[in-house]
Amino acid sequence: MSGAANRRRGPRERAGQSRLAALMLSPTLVVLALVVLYPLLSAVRESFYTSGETLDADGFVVEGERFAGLANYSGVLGERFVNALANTTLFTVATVSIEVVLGVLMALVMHRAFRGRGFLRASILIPWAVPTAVSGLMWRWIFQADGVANTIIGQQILWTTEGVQAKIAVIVADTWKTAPFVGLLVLAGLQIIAGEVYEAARVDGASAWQTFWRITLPLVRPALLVAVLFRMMDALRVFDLPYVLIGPRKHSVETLSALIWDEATRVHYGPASAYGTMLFLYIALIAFVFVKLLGADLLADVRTRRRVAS
Amino acid sequence: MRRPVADVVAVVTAFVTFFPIYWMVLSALKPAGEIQSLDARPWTLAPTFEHFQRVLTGENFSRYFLNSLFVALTVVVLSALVAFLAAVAVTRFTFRFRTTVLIMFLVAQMVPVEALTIPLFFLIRDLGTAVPGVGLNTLGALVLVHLAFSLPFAIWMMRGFVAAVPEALEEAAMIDGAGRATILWRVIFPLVAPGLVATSVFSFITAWNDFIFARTFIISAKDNQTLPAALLVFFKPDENDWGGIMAASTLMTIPVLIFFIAVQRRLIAGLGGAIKD
Repeated sequence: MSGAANRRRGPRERAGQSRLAALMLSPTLVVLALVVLYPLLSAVRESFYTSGETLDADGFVVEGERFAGLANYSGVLGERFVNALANTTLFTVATVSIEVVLGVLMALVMHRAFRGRGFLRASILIPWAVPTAVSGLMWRWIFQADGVANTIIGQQILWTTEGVQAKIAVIVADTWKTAPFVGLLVLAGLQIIAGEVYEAARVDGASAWQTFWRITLPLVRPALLVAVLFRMMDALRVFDLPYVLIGPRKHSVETLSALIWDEATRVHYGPASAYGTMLFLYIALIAFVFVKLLGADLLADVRTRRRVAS
Repeated sequence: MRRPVADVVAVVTAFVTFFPIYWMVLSALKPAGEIQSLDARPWTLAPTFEHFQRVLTGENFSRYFLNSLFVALTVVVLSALVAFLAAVAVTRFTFRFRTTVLIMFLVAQMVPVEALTIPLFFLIRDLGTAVPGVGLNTLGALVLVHLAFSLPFAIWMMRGFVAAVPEALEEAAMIDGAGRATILWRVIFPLVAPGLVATSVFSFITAWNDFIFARTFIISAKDNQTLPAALLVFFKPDENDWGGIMAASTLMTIPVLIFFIAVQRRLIAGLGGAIKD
């Protein structure tokens, strides 16, 4: 069953392993094939088709699905798609980078031993457990014209109207909600750093700052990379927070997912599928570049990595 | 960080993160007249449960609440079992398409869900005619879809927990004559159980957060709606009922909080194991 045993046994044993692995993976693969793969493929196919009534070359009415080539993709060059792409990218870059800084800070704070730590941890992590729709509503309430945000800063800003302030509101709310997720994964990474490493640094007279940059950060890097990868993939697909906080069809906060949803609910199925395909390719590209540049070991066999590390 | 500085940072961080939630609960408890008043006071002298009462008695809220709970808990149990099997397969066995399978899990995490709602709608409709219980307007459809979208991350996290189980234990069990099934369920499963609990938080939140699928699949069966639908009831064209919205939001947050606080300690300790490698 184990890797070490595997090397000692013959090819028949390995064939048995493959069969058993296939058996154990089958529930996952069936569910994913049905709910993710099949709809994804049909969306890609649909992005090249059009439906509804039109007139053909001879002036007759034709109905049903017809191959449309790249016609559905024409909107990709349009202002609305480009704007949504820019918004999505802005939100992703802004929220993920702020979350990394805040998340590491939160993790360091939560990691220290002191009385009332459990309480502190809970209050820092709670935002992540708040349902997205609820946090959208909550921030909308806070960002009302006569809401508490304006009271605190002493300004009269119309946060939930079109403009830069709406983007800021979305970034604040999203960061509030998901920085704890990064903090949680980094905290988990911090917990496995052996105390002796810090001891040695202290003996060598390293400053707190040096300790952080030279020891803590490199050692939590794997945990941070996992957190950033999954956060990026989620941030690029963000939909419900801007939708609930600011509203649907708002130019300054419309993300690609929101645009797709809007097209789909107006039964513009072809363009919706084309935009969905583009977004999928965009996320795949970014994840690919990220894994290539920073985390080649993310996909590696966990066992070999551990053996190399020890 | 030096102690006094770190203490201040800790208190400020906790305060800032907690304040919005305090504000939500406070607004739910304020009497109607105070909610819209212009000077927003951070306390109330006359707390009231009128908003909670209105939410709990009106518009099937408790029904939606139980539906959401049923979907989330079913997803948690199924996802833990299925992810456990898959994680053991990808960490303990060597087979030809191992890396391909891992990449596929990542790819599933990249799919824009909104683009799939229409194909999923047709899939669920057709599935419903073949398998009763997972068609349109059923909670089973929601379970199936959330199971799929929670699996990739769950397997990804479980991989580390399974790898942390010493292989010597399995070999010892094998020498003692234990079969594969025995090793799987009697040796590995109990050892990764804390990891399963930790992972279940992610699945619970995925399912509980649902906003889109409930609106897509549950079209006519009002009794099978879930919580987000209940939230929308309080939006009126003229004046939003903020007291009601905040009370409903508070109620919707409580189950996740209970679940989260119950497993919090295990979550942090467990994730340490998951990330070690």
